[in-house]
Amino acid sequence: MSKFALQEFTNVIGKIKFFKLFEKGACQWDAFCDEIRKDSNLETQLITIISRMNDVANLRMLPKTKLRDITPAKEKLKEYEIKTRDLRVYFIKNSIGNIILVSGKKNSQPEDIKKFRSVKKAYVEETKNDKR
Amino acid sequence: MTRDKLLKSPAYWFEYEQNELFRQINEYLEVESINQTELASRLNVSKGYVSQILNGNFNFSLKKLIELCLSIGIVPKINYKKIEEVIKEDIQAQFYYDNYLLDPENNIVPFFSPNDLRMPSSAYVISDAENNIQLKA
Repeated sequence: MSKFALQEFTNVIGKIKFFKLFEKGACQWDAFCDEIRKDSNLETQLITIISRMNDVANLRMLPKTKLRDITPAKEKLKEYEIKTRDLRVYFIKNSIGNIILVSGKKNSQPEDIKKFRSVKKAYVEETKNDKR
Repeated sequence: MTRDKLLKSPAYWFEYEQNELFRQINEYLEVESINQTELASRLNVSKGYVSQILNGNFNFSLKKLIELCLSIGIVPKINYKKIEEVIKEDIQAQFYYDNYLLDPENNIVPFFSPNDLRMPSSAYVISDAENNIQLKA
């Protein structure tokens, strides 16, 4: 049975689709959003991030301060980070679209990137023989 | 967070407009083949001001926006629409993207013939000015 599943974002509309990742039935993005909603100060930044995702989905350029290519050298599968003052979202871009793997706060950035690469590795391993 | 809530959020549009201005200025830099310092000099503004705009953080007055745009040869035409109309267009855009694919050059191609499209009854034309695409139901 597959460990990972994808669900398309319904609040991002554009040429390139955005997906959130479910790992063993749990979605880290959804949990992150629930956490942000409890802190009204950060909800505006969450909206800002989704607005940027919408730009990415429509192939519109963003400043490097807002969207950063964090792909390591020699790595083929592209990695990106969307950043606001306090929030970070990490995603990969493959043949089916952009897949959000991990999101977090600024103060957990190193651990989140580590987790992001670990999830990415597991996801790539599981899906290497299919078209996800 | 629903799409409806996003489209009614000031933060959503504020972010979009800041980034759109960044794209306009960035394009000007590319077309003119100049750097930020040269742009600041041409506009008679500080390098910090230009840097702020190119970081997508323009938050000055409407007057400044108009002055900035005119100085690079464009006009910031603000278009007012009823929110209900924007939401309706957004739903149509969703339908459009759900029924089209991108080819390897990121051009939009239909899954099937446009004549077969089943569009919402209120939708007659969906246009994508950026890509010069127009579909008719």
